[in-house]
Amino acid sequence: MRQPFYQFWTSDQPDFNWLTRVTSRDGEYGMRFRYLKLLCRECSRFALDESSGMALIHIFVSKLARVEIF
Amino acid sequence: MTTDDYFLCVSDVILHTLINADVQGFDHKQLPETPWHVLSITNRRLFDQTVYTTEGRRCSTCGRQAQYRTIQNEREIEPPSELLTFFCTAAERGQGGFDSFVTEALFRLLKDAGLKGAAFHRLFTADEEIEIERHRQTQPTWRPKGSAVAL
Repeated sequence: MRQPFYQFWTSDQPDFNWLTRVTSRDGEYGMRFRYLKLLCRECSRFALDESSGMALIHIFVSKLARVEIF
Repeated sequence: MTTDDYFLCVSDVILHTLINADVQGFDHKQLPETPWHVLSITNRRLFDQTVYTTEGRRCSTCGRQAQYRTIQNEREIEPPSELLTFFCTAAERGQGGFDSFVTEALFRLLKDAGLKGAAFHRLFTADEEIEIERHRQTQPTWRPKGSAVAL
């Protein structure tokens, strides 16, 4: 029997994003996961990287980001 | 919750509920030193991209274009075959983020698990589309009773 489907939304959390909140005790921030490759300077939107699937993100205390796509 | 860079996050309790029930269609990763986990929905389905509209202006720097409106009807997205699964659109919106969906069985699992902070809108059948079209001639926001649930 066919079952219904639901689109869902969750509460947006402004100012909570991957770059500012993912931290480690070593002072180096980041983790391996499917991630993004671009922060637009104009509209501040990220884009998921469709081709590589995974990326390694290092965010340093200065909040400057180095992004390694593999 | 969804972060402002479009990451869908769930608590420890909800993640364990999903894993124990063998829910399909997602990967997960813990946010270090927090009780939160990021879900990446991996079951991507073909969909009718003409449901999106745009204001016609692209970002002058990156060229991306915001898209509005959303999928409302069952015919607009390829259904999954799994009973308990997340799924999402095969392509990202111009401004970022994917439209996310659950099956009825997963919706009930989440509801029974005590999920809070999410709204669910049931996709309409072909018969409902006709009924909605008829009602909205006089009531522009009309929708079938019980088709939108906020937890």
